[in-house]
Amino acid sequence: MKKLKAFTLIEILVAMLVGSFVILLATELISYQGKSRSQFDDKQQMLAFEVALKTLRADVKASTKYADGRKNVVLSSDNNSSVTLKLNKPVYSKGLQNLEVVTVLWVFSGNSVMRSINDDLIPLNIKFKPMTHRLEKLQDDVFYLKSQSEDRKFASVIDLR
Amino acid sequence: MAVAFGFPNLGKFMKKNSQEMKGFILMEVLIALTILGITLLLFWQSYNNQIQINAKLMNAYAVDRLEYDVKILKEINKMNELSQNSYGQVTDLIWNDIEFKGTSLGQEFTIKF
Repeated sequence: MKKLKAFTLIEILVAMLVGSFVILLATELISYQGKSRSQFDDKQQMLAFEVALKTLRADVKASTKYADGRKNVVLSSDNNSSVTLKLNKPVYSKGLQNLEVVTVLWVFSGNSVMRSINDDLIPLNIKFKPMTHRLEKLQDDVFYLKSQSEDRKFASVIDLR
Repeated sequence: MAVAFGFPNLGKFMKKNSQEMKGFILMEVLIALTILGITLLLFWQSYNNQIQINAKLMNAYAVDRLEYDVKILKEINKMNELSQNSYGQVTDLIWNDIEFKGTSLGQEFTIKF
């Protein structure tokens, strides 16, 4: 009788065990990768928002002032969902080799923060997941900018004194 | 040599058998799996590190923002308006007339007024 070539039971069991372990590991890795990716994107967005708030603070700090000492910043809030700030600030112009005053426009809207200088055609535009923005007046020339996404809140004092 | 021991076909059998056994030995498979495992582990760790670096950076920005805001709010006597849950993972906020204390990612920090 010709001997049949085949796997033994032990070999099949071991192969099945290893195979199922590899499939389980791969599934877990893919699922973790997906969660981790969205967590990573979320953190990146929040970090970008923090940088935007810091840049806004620097812009407001450097803005030009009226004769009475108040900062030349025009604030407007629309329907508790978007906030706009327009300010003038001096910057050093390499071309002109002196200081020039530029107009900086900040728009905090539903899913983005935009910063443009002198109405430039391609402004800095950072996309976020949906957020609401509102402006609270704390006292004359001091405001509290409050932004909120579904799971995170931000607040930043805007001092125009 | 095999002929000498009385097995005329042994040499042929061994040659045939060695030709049939094409595959990796256990040691090769184990080494390959170890290398794969280490690579995956390193990749996963670098990914996790990146997330942690982002979280730390974000919190550093949040603490910086909090410091600026708290000083102004204190100046205008509006500390009660402080939105305590709007500064990243900063927790345990307490303050008095002299200083402001909080915890950021498990580390305490103090802001002097």
